[in-house]
Amino acid sequence: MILTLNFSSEIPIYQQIRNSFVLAIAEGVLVNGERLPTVRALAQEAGVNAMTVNKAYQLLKQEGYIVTDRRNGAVVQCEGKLNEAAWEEMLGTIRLLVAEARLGGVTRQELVAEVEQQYQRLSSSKAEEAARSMGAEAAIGCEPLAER
Amino acid sequence: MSVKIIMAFCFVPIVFLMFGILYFEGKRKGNILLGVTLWPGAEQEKRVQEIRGTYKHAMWFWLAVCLGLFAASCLPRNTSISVSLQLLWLILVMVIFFVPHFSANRKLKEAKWEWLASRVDEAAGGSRPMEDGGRRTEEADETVGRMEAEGRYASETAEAANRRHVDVTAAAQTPPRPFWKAGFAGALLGFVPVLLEPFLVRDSFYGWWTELTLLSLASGGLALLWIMWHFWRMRTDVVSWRSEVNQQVARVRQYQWGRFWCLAVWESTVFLFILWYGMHRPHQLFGITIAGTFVVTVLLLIQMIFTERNIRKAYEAYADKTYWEEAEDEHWLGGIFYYNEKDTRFMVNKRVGVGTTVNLAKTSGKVFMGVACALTAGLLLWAAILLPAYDFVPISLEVADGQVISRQFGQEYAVPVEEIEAVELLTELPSMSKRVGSATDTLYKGSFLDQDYRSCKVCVRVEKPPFVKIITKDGMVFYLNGENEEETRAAYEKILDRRESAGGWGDGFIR
Repeated sequence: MILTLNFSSEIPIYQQIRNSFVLAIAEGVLVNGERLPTVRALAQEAGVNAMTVNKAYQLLKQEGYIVTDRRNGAVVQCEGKLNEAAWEEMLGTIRLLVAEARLGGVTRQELVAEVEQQYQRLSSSKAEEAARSMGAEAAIGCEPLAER
Repeated sequence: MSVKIIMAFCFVPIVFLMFGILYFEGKRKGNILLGVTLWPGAEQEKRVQEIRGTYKHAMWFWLAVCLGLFAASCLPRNTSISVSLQLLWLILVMVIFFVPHFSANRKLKEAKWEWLASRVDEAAGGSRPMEDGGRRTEEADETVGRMEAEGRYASETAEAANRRHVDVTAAAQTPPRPFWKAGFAGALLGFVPVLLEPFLVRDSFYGWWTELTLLSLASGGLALLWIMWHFWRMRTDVVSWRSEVNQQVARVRQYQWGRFWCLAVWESTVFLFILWYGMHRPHQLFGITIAGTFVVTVLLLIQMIFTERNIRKAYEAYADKTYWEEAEDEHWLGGIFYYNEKDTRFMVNKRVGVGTTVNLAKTSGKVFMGVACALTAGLLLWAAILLPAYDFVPISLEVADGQVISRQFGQEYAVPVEEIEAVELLTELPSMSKRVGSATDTLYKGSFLDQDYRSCKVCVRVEKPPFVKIITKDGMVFYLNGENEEETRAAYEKILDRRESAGGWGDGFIR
């Protein structure tokens, strides 16, 4: 999974990390049980402060996307259920998004079509990832990455 | 003459090393050429090929210039002047090959800007497209395109420069530690001479210097292990959108560098054993040290070249040529120096050359680079000034205030006349080998060992006999002379007079 950070964005880095992981889980790039890098390792790779990564991980944990323990570090564990509070928060976000779209001249049909398209894309991403994990690299033209 | 040959053996490989490291930057490494991330189709563009060709010609030109200058530095008859010139030449060699690189880097960046400008124009439905990826055909279009592009390019490249791609899957892997055990064993073996020396040899010629030297070298082996560990922790280079490709490239790099540093540890240990042997053969120590240093240095250079070549092969084999999103060009000054305020890392992988470099945006990076440059240039300059001073500052030999005083730049020997047991005027200097000090064609100064392995203090102009040999009551031997024969003889006569008037000589004195 390639994480892209934009240091000139208004979105804080920890939020960008959180958003990227959420998208990756939704797309099937990260699956349940997959181990995430340690806070220190990801901070080192990304060139950011470890506290920033820690904050992102805490947020993901609170929202129920990952679990952490001392032994195994952080592991993806998404139950696929939103609790009441999270759902209310999401509704608030949706209301705001719809209001902004309406004010911007986006029609209902356009907005619904876009939402459907995003759902479609996420569903197909999961299917592609499943095929890849079954060893489809050779078909793409890359030599098997065996021991060299 | 032998000194000049030794200096040639030591210094000439350095110019080839500097040339080689930068010359091969004219070849694509992953998606980077001459420190610039290439855009799709860049290598086929005529302008890029011209820049590359000019760069390679310039490198060969400067190599020829450096070799010619080195040959010229061997011409002076006086060895200290020759060596001094070669030390200054070394500073030039460390810097000069970067000049064509900076120039080629700047030109390539300009070519990239123009390509980006053409993309911007096309996207805006603007005027004619670029021809052959090169310059525009009309100046007006070029100016308009550039103005628009600069306005949009500024935001586009600022955006790109502030983006960073991180391979999360690679970061989650526990990196292998190839060659760790072998390297550790080599480093531990280096401590064997340190532990055995006090028990095996009772009277070492160099005393506690032997243990100190051996301990320093053995600790150097541990330092190499630390560097090995540091290379393993280097950030994964993102060369493809596919994580498994990035991981494979990272594994190749870790394997190659692990092997290099492991071999370096073992070579350091072997050199330590050789030096240990030489320290018990004082007359051969100088030759053994020079030969050992030369062999180890050449081996390390060859290994480094092969390691970098193998890593580049992996980049060539695996790097995704369509991946050019990594656009950190703005953070690389001249393609060589890294400056990024938003990066918390102190050390980053080099884009050009071998190994790592520091982030100059950090205070610690500035301090590190400043100290390294100051030390390197400062030490070389200091040595370049010191050597002729050694040779050309006159020796003085006089007898005053009841002492025989010999002075030369930075060195003074004062022997009380009443402590002199024996004195002799020699027309030839006996053969001796240097322990600590200076031994050029014209000047011997410092602590030496004579043919009987006796320690002696020397301060003489080798080509200006005679020489005064003084033996003190506590057995210390001095070889001294003045800047000319008259001065030496006058001092000798004064020593005899003073000793006679002080009460004569003991049994067995030599005069």
